[in-house]
Amino acid sequence: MIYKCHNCGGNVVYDPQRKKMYCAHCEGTDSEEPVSGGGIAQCANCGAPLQIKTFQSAGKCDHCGCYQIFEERVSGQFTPHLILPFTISRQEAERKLNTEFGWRTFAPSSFLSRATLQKMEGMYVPFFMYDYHVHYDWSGKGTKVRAWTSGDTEYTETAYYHINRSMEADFMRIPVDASNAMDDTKMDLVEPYDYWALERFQMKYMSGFFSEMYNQGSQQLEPRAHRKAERDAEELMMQSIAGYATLTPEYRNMNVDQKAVDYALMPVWVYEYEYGGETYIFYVNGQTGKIVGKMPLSKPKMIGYSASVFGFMMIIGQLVRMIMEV
Amino acid sequence: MKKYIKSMAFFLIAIAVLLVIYFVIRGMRGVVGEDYVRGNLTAPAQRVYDYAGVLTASEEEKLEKLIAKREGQIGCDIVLVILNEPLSSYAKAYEDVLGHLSESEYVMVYADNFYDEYAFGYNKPHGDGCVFVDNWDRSDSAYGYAYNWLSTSGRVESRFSTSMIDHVVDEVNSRVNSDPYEAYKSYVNNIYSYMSGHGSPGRFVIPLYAVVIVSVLVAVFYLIGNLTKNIGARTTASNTYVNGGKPKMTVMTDHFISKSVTKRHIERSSGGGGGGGHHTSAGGHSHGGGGGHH
Repeated sequence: MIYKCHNCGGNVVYDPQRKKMYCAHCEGTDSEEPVSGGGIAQCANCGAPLQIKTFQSAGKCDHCGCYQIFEERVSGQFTPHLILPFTISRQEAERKLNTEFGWRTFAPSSFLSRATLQKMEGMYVPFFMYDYHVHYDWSGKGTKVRAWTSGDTEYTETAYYHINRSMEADFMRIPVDASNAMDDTKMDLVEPYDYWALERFQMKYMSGFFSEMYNQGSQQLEPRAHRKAERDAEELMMQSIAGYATLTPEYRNMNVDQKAVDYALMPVWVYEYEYGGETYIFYVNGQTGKIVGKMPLSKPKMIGYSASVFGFMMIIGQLVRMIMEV
Repeated sequence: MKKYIKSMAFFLIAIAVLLVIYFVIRGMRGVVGEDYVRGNLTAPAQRVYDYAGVLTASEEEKLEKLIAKREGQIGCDIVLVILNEPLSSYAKAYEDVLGHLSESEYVMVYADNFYDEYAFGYNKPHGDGCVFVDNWDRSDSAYGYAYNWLSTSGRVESRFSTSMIDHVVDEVNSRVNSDPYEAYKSYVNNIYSYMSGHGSPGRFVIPLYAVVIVSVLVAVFYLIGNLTKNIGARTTASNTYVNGGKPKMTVMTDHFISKSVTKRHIERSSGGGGGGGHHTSAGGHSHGGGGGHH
C-alpha cells in the first residue's frame, strides 16, 4: 500500500526534519491517505513489477519511485510494538558522512560522490528488545600490595581479603537485530539509541523508507541478548571490586531472568560503496547520527601521495642543509 | 589534481618559504662577507694533497673550491693532507730534537713539518693557517688506529683552544670511515666557522642519511595517520541498559584476613670517565694542535 496525497495524489512520506508526513509534489503536510493495492509483486502506483526481498516489509518502486509498505508483513503477529522514527534526514546523513570522512586522502575519488550517495536508503531494521533481571553473587579472595624502600632494602607487603558481593540489576531493552542481512557486529556498534524517542508503532512512519520484518523469532535470537546481559553484569561486578592487585574468585552464581521482549523498528541510513570488487557498507544511526563503517583505500593513491611526501621532504631537507652551509 | 595540491599544500609552502630564505641569506652573505687580501705568494697554491687516493678527482676539486672560498673569508690557509704510509721511522728521526714521541704524535711531526716546509700562511710565509693530516695507515699503531692531526699556526693557533681542536678532529673522525669527503668538508667548514664566528661554533651539520631517514619517517607517519579513518568505536558501556544507570549492590563486604611482608636487597652500582697543546716544531716554529684516530 502507498500513502497518497489527498490534494495532488503524490507520494506522501515521513519527513524526519519536519517531523510530519510530507508531500514533495505539492509541499503539503499531513495530507496522507492510505491506498491499498499492489502487494509484494506489483507497484501499487504504476503497476510495474517489484523485486522484493524475502523479509522486506517496505520499499520503493524502481520505475515510478513510489515508496510502499507491504501491510501483510507488519500486521497480525508481525505487528511491531514500537518504532523509533527517523530523526536524521537524508541530507543530514549525507552531511554527517562527509564530515566524518572529510579528510579522506586515500579514499577513491568516487567515494561519497553525489552519484553514489543517491543510492543511499533509510532503513527500519527489525530489533527485539529484551528486559532482564540479573542477580549475581560473587565471593572470593583479593590481595592489596604495598611497596616501599628503606635504605638498601625494598619491602613488599601483601594483605589478603575475603570479598563478598551481591548485585541486582534490571536490564531494560537490550537490543538484538533480527535481520540476517545486517552485519551483527556493525549493528551492535550503531548502538545506543535514545529510547526516549521510541513510540508506539504507526505504519505511516515507514513511508519513505525501506524496512524488514524479523527474520528469526525472538526465542532464537534471545541468546545474543542473554550474552550481552551476562557480559555487562560481569563488567559491573568487576567495577564494584576495585582496588585489588589480584582477585581469585571462589564462588560465582549469575541468574539472568528474561522478563519481557518487545519487537521494534529502529532507523538506520545505509550507504553502500563498491570498489575493487568489495562492497563497503556504512551505517548511520538514524537518530543519533553515529557512523559505523570502514573507509575504502585506493592503493594507487596511498603509494602516490606517500611517495610525494617522501620526495617533498627530501627537497625540504636538502634546502635546510643548503641554508645551513651558506 | 586540486585535491592533491590541497593535501600537499603544507609541503609546497614549506619548500617555497625555504627557497626564499636560502636566496635571502645567500644574498646577504655575498654582500657582507669581507675578503682578506693574501700576503703570501710563495707557498704552493694546492691545498688538497691526497697521497692515499681516498678522494675522487671531483671531490678534491670541490674541496679546493670550498677551501679557496673559506680562506678568503677568514684570512687563513686551510690545508688537507691524506696519507697512507707508516710514519714511525720518519718521526723517530726527530726524537733528538722533540723528545720521545708516542704513536699518536708521529702524524703531528709530519703535519708541523709539512706546514713549515711549504711555508703556508695566508698573510705571510709561516703565517696564519692550519693543516690537517689524516694517515690511513695503521701499522704504526699497536691498537690498529689510523691517526690524524690538526696543526695550527698564527691566528688559528691563538684562536683554537684544545676543546675546539678536539671538536674539529672528532667531527672528522665520526664520519671519515663512511664518507671521507663529508668528513674533510666538515674540517674546512668548522675552521671557517670558529675563525669567523659565523654559525654557532660546533655548528651541526646534517648528513644526507639523516634527511633520508626523516623523509621516510614523515612519509610513514603520513601514511599511517591517514589510514586510521575506520570508525565505529563502541559507545555503549556496561551500564547503558541498566535501569537507573547503575546496579544495586545488596552485599558489599571486604574482610581483612592477614598480611605478610617480604624484603629484597637492592644492588647499587657506580661508574666513572678523562686532552694536547702548544709546542715548537722541529723546524723551530710554534704550532698548536691536537689529534685523534679512526
